[in-house]
Amino acid sequence: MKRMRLSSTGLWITRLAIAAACLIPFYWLLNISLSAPSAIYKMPADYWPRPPVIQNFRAVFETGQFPRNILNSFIVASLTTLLTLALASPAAYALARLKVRRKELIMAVFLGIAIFPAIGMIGPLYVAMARLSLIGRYPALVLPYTLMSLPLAVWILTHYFSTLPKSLEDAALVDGCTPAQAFLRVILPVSAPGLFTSAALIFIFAWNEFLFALIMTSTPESRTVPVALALFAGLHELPWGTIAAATIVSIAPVLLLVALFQRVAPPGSASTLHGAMKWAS
Amino acid sequence: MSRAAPTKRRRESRLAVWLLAPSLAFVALLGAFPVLSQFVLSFTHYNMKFADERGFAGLENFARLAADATFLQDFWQTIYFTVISVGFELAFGLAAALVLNRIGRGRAAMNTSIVLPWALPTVVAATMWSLILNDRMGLLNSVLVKLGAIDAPVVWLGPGLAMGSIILADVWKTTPFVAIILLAGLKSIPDQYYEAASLDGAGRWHQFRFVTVPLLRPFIAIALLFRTMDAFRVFDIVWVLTGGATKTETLSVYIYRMLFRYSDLGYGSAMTVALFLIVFLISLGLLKLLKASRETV
Repeated sequence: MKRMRLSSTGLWITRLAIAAACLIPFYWLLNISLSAPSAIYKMPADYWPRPPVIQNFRAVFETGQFPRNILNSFIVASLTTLLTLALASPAAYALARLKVRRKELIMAVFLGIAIFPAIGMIGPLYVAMARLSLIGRYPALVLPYTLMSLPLAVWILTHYFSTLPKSLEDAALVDGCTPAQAFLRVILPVSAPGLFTSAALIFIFAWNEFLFALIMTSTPESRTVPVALALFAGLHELPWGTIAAATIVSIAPVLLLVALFQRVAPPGSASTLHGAMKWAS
Repeated sequence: MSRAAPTKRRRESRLAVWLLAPSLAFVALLGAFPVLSQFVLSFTHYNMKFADERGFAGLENFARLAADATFLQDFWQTIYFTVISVGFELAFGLAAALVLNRIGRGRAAMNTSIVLPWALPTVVAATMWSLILNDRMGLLNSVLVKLGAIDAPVVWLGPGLAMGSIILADVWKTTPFVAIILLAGLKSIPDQYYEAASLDGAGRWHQFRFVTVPLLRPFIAIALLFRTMDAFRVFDIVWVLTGGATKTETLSVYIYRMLFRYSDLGYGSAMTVALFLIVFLISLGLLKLLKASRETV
């Protein structure tokens, strides 16, 4: 008790400094996105926009493909999340609850996929997708993303299912459910928090991924947000205001997810921790 | 009853097969192919621009690798990036975790602020930093000039300073990840340990040294493992900030150039396999460290 009271002012100053270090870049981004192009190249710079303008944001939505890029990202991230959960949750249920032979080997296969560097998969997967003429289409991103996020999802859900009381299924079986029905009608609904945690991690991963998105898309219309942002600079002569505005726009969905994630699984909660522990061992 | 039990067990294992089959088939179909073909390609000459010269190469690609000055230079640059950035991330992450542990009021706001850099696409974070570090309009130059620390704007992403700037951006982006893991570790240490230590007359430094550090060691090892593996494969942040110019190219950026600019699949694959083996060896070493740190607890 004593040691906390002694230094509480110092602690709070440090905490605020950490928050500031995290947030200052966002402030600068906002400042530039709201500044007129003529006001950007100033040294010393203006520390707030005078006057604030919205023309950069208008440019994001009027010129170029950016709205389309946002839609692409949203579709790719959503499909990846759904497909990964559809594949991972039955597998995780089997691994957590049913008698499975060679359980260790199966877990090792999933871990091996997670450890193999993504850069090593891009080349061959590009060739495969090109053969199937899927380059520039959604499956060219959704399938690799699912492959990469599957191991983590399987692990988190296996852990989650094994923490549920066994009496849940027993009661369902007594009531005349088959094991499959017990999984679908009893286990899945009560696992909503675990499913949501996995969904949020998968969605953010797919929304943020850059390397595959850069290579698997061929036209401006097929790009996702990170690629569009990275290539913005190359298209025109460095429209910094528009780049900043586009960046702000692309942050919004992530911000929403972080806020939701806070409610369901606060950072540093037991599930993330044990996930990391088991993952590394 | 005696007949029902085996039937039930058989039904259960049949259900397990059906539940596991889709994801294992998916991994086999989509994962096995790229991993294996990467190894096969690394033993061939195959440049898509000269496709008719395709053929078995034996170990020639790897011999070329060992003599490739760019590869060696990028290898050292990658090591430099990894050691410095992971070092700072661990130090700052530990400091942040220590002051954020046992926070009462303002918890949600603090948590959101520290999660935000981590949840941001690396490309977006890099774009943001290129605005701050810019030599004609950047925040950093503006503030430093005003404070009188420098006379004229500095080209932070130019020769000599670029790697440091990239490391700064990476530390900003991924320190939160380390802090979150270490925060979880701190929360797992029971209060009684500190109480017992303080009854024994241990001051704050001794409590930190003999309670916090030993019990936190496995978590530090986990953070170290994850960050080192990722830092060694770094691509996006370098790509956006400098494109690999002025001595900032890392191995992943070089592999990207080889595969997708020069279309040299054979040599590019050999580099990929080399990178894979390096990362594999590093993680093996760190896992050993992790095991050792667990046994001492």
